[in-house]
Amino acid sequence: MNSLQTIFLVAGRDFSQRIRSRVFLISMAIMMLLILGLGPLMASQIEAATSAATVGVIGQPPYAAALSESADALGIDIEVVPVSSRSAGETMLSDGDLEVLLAGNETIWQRSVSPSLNALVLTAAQATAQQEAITTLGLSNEEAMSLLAPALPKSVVLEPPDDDAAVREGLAFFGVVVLFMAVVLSGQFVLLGVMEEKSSRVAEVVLARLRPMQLLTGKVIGIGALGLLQLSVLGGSLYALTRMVDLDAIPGLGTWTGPMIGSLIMWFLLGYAMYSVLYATAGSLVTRQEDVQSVSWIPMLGLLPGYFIALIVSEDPESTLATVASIVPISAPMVMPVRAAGANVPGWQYGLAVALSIVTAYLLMMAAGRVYRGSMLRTSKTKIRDAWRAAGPSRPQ
Amino acid sequence: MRLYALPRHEIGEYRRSMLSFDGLTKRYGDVVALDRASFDAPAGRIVGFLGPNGAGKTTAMRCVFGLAQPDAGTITWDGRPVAEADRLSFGYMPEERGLYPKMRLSDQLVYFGRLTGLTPSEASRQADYWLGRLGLAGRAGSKVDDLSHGNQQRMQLAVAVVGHPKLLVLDEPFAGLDPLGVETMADLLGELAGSGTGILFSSHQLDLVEDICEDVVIIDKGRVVLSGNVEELKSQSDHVRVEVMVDGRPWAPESPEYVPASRSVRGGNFVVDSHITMEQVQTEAERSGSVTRFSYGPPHLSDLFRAAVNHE
Repeated sequence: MNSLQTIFLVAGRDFSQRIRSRVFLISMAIMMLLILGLGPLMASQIEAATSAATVGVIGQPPYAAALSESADALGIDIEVVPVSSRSAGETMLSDGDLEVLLAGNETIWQRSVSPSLNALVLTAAQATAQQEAITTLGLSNEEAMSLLAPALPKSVVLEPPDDDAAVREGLAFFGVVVLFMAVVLSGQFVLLGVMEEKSSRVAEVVLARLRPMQLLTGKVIGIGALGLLQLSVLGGSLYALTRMVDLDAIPGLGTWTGPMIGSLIMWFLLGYAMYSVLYATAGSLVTRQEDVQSVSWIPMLGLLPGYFIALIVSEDPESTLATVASIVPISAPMVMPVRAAGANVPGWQYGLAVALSIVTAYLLMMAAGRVYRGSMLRTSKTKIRDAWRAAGPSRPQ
Repeated sequence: MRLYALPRHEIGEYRRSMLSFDGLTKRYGDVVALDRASFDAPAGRIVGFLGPNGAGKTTAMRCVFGLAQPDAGTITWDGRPVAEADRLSFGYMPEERGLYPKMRLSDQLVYFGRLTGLTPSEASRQADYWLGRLGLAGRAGSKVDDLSHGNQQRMQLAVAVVGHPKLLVLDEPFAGLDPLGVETMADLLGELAGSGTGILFSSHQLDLVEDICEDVVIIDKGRVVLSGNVEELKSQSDHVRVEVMVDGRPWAPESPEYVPASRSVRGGNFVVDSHITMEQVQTEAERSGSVTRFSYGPPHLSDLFRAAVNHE
């Protein structure tokens, strides 16, 4: 039996034992519920951000007729709603049913003046006044046009705004939360699995037949496969969710969900490869459930900052912080997908981030493997330094 | 210190498969666990590995499986240093028992069988066989956690023997077993040795070792202090075990030359150096009254042990 077969035998045991465990099934159910709960919430928020603004109108102000036309010209999506009285309109404003109420020569806002809607009302009022003036002066349409619309400079936009950016960033933000949770959950599984082998002393029986690195690698692969399955099921349900909501209402959602899930799965694998061995190291140091807390900080030391930076970067994907943190391996798995969703990432930076993550995962595996080797056969709580020294640089055959 | 006085015709056969410790040395800081220890465990023989607590038995056994690295010396199998592939054909029962607590017995045995290189079908066939052989057939679907202590021991042995190892290394296999369990275990070891498996096991139960082992290795403070065939060691010993009753009561000499055999025996049993003649002992005893029983013979294994690890 070769080394690879041994590793997959170990991986197979961990996968098949754990997929049947109650802890796994419960954690899976919780994550599904979170998606099903957060999904519609996200959808409604995106919808709110992109849906038409409602403009309430009392009676027939002279400019009301020009509103829709001006809105089209300005590229603002509005819906004009007749309102019976000012008090009724104010109620609708406070209920959030209206963005603005037009009453005679007043525009009424609930909290603050929306610049775009205000500009729209002003444009409509101005257009109406101009039309009246043209009629009064008896000008022809051509005369009016040359008077009112001199050759205005034409706007040229170098970087046209990306209509899908908001959707992509929203997905990435949501995705990084899932990714973080998936790495932590799978990592906890690794930690508990390693601790179980150490505390039940079965490690000595197993390690009499295979090398510590084979046991460690097999466990990481087995539980990683489980995490991947978990993420795929959750990603799949997220994807299905986006298919259910009105795709036209949220431009880009249909286009971007698939690639985003793909990118998250890749970064999950890289992040998991790095952090799982730290979780394994943590697990190899303790034998009791009560001590788990005292070692869980080891992987969290890297995971939490990465997670928070990712949340910050989702607001400002063009920042220097975003560039640096998306390449530094410890934070890259969480920051890069968010940054790539919101900004143009040069190919070399993306490639570098992936390469550095792989190299770091390998180096961590070697270092963590040594601590693991040195601590697995000890019967009590072990210090990292003692385990490192006990293991020696490599195990002779 | 190779003390196996094997008959000539057997030497060729045993040389082929034999676990040999040669000059094994291991230190843990200032503690010397093994000090140039050399001994053999040949195929088809049961070797009792004896020594006081902390003598280095567990360390030596761990070295066989690469679980501890000797600072010096080698462990060879068939004359070559023990390789990873060899270890797959060795079975091991560590002093600290260990099984997957939440894994079903049959699954667990199949897993360990496959780790030794068995195919899935062969592994499950052997799992069934060993569960049946060790009286665990009815518990195949149970988790280790739900087993009694005795059944956990049996399961531990099953894990060690699945794959039909060429060599079994058992650290205190009899510890914690009831007399019936001891008997079952001893029978099984005899059977395995009969089929050609080499067995090295440590124990503190010297009478038991005397019953089932052909060979013993006694280790003290990391050094092999005595090793060889039990019967030969006894006959070569410079001690004689004597049992004397005077006036129907156990009698023990007061002379310092007579070593009390064992504190647990109520007098009457003691060991003398072989330069003391039985006539001398008898004369000494007759001074106390009339000798109603007088017998002597080779020392017990426990006498050899005590003499070998005598720290004074």
